[in-house]
Amino acid sequence: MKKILRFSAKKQAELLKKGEVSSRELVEAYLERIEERRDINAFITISDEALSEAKRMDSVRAGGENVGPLSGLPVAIKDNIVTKGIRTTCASKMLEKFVPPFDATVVEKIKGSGGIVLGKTNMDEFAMGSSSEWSIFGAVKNPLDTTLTAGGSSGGSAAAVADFQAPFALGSDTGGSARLPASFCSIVGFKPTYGRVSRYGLVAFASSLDQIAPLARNVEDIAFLFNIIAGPDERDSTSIKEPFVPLENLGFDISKVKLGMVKEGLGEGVEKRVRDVVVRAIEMLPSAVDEVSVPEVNYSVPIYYVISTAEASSNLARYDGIRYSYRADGYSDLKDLYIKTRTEGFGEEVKRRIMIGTFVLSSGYYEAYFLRAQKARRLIRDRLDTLFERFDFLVMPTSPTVPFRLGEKLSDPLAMYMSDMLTIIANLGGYPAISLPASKKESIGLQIIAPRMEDDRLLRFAFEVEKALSAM
Amino acid sequence: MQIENALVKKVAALARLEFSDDSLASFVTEFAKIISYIEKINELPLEGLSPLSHPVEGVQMLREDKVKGSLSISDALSNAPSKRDGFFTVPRVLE
Repeated sequence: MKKILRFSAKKQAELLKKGEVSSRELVEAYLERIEERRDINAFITISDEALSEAKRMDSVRAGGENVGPLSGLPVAIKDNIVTKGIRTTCASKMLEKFVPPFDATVVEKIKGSGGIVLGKTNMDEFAMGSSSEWSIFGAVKNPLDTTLTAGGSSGGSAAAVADFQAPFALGSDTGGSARLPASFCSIVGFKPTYGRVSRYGLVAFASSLDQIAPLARNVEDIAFLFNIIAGPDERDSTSIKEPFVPLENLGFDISKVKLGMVKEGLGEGVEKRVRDVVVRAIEMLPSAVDEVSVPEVNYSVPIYYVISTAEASSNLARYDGIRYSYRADGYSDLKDLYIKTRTEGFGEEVKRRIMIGTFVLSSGYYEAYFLRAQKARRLIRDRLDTLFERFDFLVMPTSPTVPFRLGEKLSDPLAMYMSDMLTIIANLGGYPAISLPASKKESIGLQIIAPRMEDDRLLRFAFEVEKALSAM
Repeated sequence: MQIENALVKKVAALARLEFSDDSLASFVTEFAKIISYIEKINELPLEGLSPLSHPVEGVQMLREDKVKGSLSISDALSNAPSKRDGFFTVPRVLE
């Protein structure tokens, strides 16, 4: 592996800017690395245009033009974010041959800032999973130990970044899908405030929870990528109207910060090793820490599996075999075409979630399940909003367990769902949240949650936490 | 609640999915387990709370109602499994 691949994304961009490395050399080095490490299965598709784009960037730069902050740096993109002319599969048979005719807003912004789409990363089908094993292209392996899962659903993005196959990457986070794999692969994953990044071009799973999320090897690189992708977008009516002010300086007076350590995040269902490492990391910080209780944490998985599946069952109704997806053969009429296409095109976990979602929305069950879950969602949000009046940030582990073995939880959906028990509350309330490595030895993430719209304070604080922990 | 084969078949029909007779039994068992786990929500005090459908309440992003370009017909049809003369084709629905 070329030495430059180990540098931070920011450093690589600086070297590009100074002309000490060309974009072509850099992209070639990444392509070589990806080829060497095919067994990790981080990528589904490598862009045919990455190299020619790199050459084009080099010649634009040679002509004295500013190509933008990314300066010809490649970026890995999760395969549920549409890329014009590059196949976007969602790791599903349903979209195996889908070549989008347009770019997602975030992809447009990356290209407009001098970034190059390196390739599309592997994931759980339609982002439904916590291990990146539910993919028609096979499971992603954890690059730190290939017998383990990389976490999910953005496992390909996390593995690519951890394994130096990309400087940084975009994933998505509906219930923890960026933070969990970041934790499992010992990198940083950041879910912004709901609406701060446009969802236009993100294949919808659960629209009121989905958010595009950067993954990187350090907080500074997260902020670098977040600065490029954030902001209002008139093509996403749920994006936040207020203009986005890019972060200029990281860093923060950490000693005046008040942290709430969530008791339930260190209780039942959380492995002792995880608890010990995270508590030790929190105690290392010079900030004031108080224990707080969020009893609803223990209900977040059931609430999430009602709301997210209900929204998914509605969103995935679009895969009808008519407009842009797989179509089954041998149907007798239109209804049969729908049934055969969907039964053959969706994988096991996706069908399970469509079934749960259809059930909780169906006549006779809607009030008992869906409406109740929505009320419980308000209960959680109210609780957290109240806590944020007293505390700057809430802290707890990202995952209740260390990375588990490939295949370990595939036949037990409920056990798999429990992996998200500590990350879901941020999605239910729209809060920004980040996962940072809490240990140098083990893949255990420290999660920090901030009030809505305080992405910038969260990143500045996380930058200090990262520094404090690396001195450990 | 009791989850029976007939209920699962009815939900599958609504979702335009099908389970073979072989796979139905194991699916029903698993489905019942998940639904019974979800019912844990009933332990929460939800009296008087209004449902929250979205994390950010308030005015949404709106734009000017102006005519703009959109996907061309050929782009829109580029991923269609079956098309003819600028249209998606579907099995006959009228006799």
